[in-house]
Amino acid sequence: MNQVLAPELDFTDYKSDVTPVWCPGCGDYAVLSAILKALAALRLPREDVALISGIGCSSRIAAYTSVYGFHGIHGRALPIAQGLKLARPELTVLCAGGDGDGFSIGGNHFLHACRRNLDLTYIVMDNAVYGMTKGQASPTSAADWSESKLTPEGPGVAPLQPLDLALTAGASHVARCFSGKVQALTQTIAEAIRHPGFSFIQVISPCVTYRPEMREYKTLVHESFTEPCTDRREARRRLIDDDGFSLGTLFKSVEPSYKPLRHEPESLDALERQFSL
Amino acid sequence: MNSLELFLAHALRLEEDSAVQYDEMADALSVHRKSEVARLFRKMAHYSRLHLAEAERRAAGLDIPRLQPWEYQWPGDDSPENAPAGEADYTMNDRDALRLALKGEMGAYAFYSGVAAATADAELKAAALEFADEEREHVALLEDWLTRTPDTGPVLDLDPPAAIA
Amino acid sequence: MSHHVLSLAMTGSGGAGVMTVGQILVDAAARAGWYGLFRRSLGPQIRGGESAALLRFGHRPILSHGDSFDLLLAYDWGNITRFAAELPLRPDSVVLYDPDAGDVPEVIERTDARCVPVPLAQTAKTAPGTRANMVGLGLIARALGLVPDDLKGELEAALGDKGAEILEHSLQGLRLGAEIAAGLPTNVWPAADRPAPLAVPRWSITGNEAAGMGAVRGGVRFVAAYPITPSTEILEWLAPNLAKVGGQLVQVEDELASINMLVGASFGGVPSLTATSGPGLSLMLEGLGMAVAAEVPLTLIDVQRGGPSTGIPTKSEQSDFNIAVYGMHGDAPHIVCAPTSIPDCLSTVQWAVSAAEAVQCPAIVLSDQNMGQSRAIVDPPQPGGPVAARRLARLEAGTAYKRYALTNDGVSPMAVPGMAGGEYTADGLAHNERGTPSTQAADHQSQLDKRLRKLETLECEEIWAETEGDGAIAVIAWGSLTEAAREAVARANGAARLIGLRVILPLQPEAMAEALTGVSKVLVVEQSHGAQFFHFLKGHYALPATVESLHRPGPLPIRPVEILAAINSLKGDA
Repeated sequence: MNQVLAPELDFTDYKSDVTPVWCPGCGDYAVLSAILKALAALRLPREDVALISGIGCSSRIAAYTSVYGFHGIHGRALPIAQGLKLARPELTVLCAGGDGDGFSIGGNHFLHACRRNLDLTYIVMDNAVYGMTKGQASPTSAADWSESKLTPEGPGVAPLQPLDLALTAGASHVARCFSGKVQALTQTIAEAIRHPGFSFIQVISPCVTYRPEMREYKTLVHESFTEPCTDRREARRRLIDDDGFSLGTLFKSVEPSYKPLRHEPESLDALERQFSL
Repeated sequence: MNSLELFLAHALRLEEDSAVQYDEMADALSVHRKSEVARLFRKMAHYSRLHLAEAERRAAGLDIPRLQPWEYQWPGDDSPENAPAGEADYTMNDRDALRLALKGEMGAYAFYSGVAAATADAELKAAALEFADEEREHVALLEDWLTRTPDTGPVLDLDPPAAIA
Repeated sequence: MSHHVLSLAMTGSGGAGVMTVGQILVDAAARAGWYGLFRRSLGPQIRGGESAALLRFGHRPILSHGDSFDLLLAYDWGNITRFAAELPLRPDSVVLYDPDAGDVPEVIERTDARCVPVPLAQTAKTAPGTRANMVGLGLIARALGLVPDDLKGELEAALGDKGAEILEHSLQGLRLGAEIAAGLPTNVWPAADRPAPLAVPRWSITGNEAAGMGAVRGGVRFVAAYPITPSTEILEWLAPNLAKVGGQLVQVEDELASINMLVGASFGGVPSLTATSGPGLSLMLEGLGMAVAAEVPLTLIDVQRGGPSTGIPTKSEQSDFNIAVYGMHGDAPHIVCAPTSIPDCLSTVQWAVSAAEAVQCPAIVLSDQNMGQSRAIVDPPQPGGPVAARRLARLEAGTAYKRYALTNDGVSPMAVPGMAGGEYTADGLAHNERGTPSTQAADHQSQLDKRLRKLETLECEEIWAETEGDGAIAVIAWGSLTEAAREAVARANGAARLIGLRVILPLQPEAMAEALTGVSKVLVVEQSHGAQFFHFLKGHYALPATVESLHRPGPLPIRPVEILAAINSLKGDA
């Protein structure tokens, strides 16, 4: 994360004047609020922060902040974010989007972003549904979720386990939060931004339009990852008993990040001499 | 909670959070052409801002502690007036909106009165009671409003959600 | 010209060392004053497949393949039928072959070329440790007037790390080869004098290396890479060399990551580039379209190979023209340009980088395997050239920044992260001047207009095409066929002129009209089955009524003599 401190700003100073397209009651409002509050708490200068997103309801979030943003294409937020971070390592780069964007069309990038372990914070607002295309099953929908016209008998395949995936692929900060607990979410986002490596936060964020039953998730979630593991194997063991509603930071460990090749500087003339006979 | 300063830090946060969120809900409901409901939320945002101004006036000159967003000691998970935000819905009618606002105001009242009850500090108790009284007035206002608002029944969902991506 | 131009080929199965021998010969010849061109033909195998080193030397710069080969040295006949078509021989060509490798195959015999046996393997056996490939090198060097001592320096460079003993055996092989050469009738050798010694050192460079150097010169400092033949050498060259100028190359998980990482890095203000081939370009199209919409400059080099699908990865074609020009969905103005020769890969890539930065849109550079993986001996290019200079926003307090402001030339000054007051969200959604998503007709229209305007105002006059001659028949070619067309035009006795189109998009109607002044007929030359370039020219340019197409798919290059025949045929139609 960026080391320069901004003058004290209110969290609303990190908010843009664009009205969200989200439905009333959507969990993403709380995630936006938590991000804004985390940025304000860390006193990050707006110009030194970039929020990169893909396509989907939650990906619209980039335009709702007053930091630099990129609302890219479906599934490619992580490559854009990593390109930016590699090119401009002094920036604080956040990446955000939904479960379809991150785990389906962008699944490959998720694995490799975890492996590279660049100093990024990736927030996935997981509502287990494709909202913008009218409610199809996503990679985190239950096999028998049968509310979509596209899969009237349910997707028929077991949902992905994002935390498990992140752990296996090498993310060095892995957490799960609930949009209905903004204070904890804000704290986790702030910790993730401070963590020097790839931080992944799965935020259970209800879709009240296509998954109205998610309104009741507030009664299902429970704080189970009270202290983060620093041992990857131990974190995996914890996941064996996870019901998908355990909240908290599961794993946190400072581990090496991908670093580009460094070389003694040479002039253009020197480079060109290699072609000279 | 044992000091006026700490209490005011909480009051400032509570009122700003609720003002921002009521505005957000008003914006969201405007998108859904629920102008009456939006107006109601806008009014609630206005009340919260009045409270915020009041808290700021009291805080002037005091050394208000800078709390990180996760350091507030709320009875529940979050700013008490914000708690029911997840219950908003685009089909909500005036009565639904009033009920939601009522919940928020009751949350704020519970917080303020709880602080007043728990403290032995006379100055803090007085301030907390004052804030609690105002919230109670809002609660009464909203309850009255609710009785005067006819139940129009469930909103017909004539426009199903659109695909936009 | 033909007096001092010499085409040689060497064939051999894997292990024959044909490519190493070719490399040593080219470098030694270059040092002796020859210009040269070294093309490669490879089979599909990773190791052990058939391969041919295709060489052409001259006293003047050689940038095109020739009509046929004067001399073929066959170490063996492994899979010769698979690529004999790429080795056209004449009755007066000479084929030197090792009788140990079997009889002269029918496919060679029917060319009526003069076949002369040379005992390469047997000779190598007479001196323990020597190898047939070195005997062959010592032999064929005679064609260029080179003796073993002329090859010694290159041999050391190529084999120095293998130890003194191997080096000495190799030198011994060269000497034995030279002895065989001396024993052959002199009329085996094509007439070619040794050129004058070099005044200034020349460059030995492949199109792919030149493209990499052009990227560095143009200011590229970020590259995301996913390997694909025949573009990988660009990326491999850039990996260490970018690091030397403070840039970086990152190998990524796929081409989707590659193009999107460029978008991220360039959004951050760093000029960015990638190299790929057809299948990779297909995967990158969505990202390119986003770069158009979000107005993010970047450069993509497509080293074309045979397509569609996996096609012929090791061999050249010019069939990605359509996807580069028309591939993106929506109306997406962008730059497409093509180097016209191996050294031009440097200057065209350099120009593309600076042009992309100037107008904040993606540039696609269409190279091809024929240039990319071929090596040429060339005069050192002029230093300097255009460098990326992005128009950055000057931010004033109190004024709301508009990232996509409607300007006269369409280019909107860009803020990059770190610039306070310039915070904006780049968007692939249609947007207004501020970048806020908008579905309004007026916003869409005005932003589309603006993006087109940027391209229309891009300065291309100096570089839009290679032109030469003033004949009434215009030969319009592109890419690596430009130089073949130039040779044909030179041999057409003033009947033709050359237009080697370098800037494909934006269109250059005025320059083209001027170049076509006095032209009555047009011959379009390209290496694609579907005559893609021909249809593009017909669709977008005002051409004379008679426009003929000379096209065929890869991998057989269209040779100067074929272009000349087409010119003559058009002339005859008059």
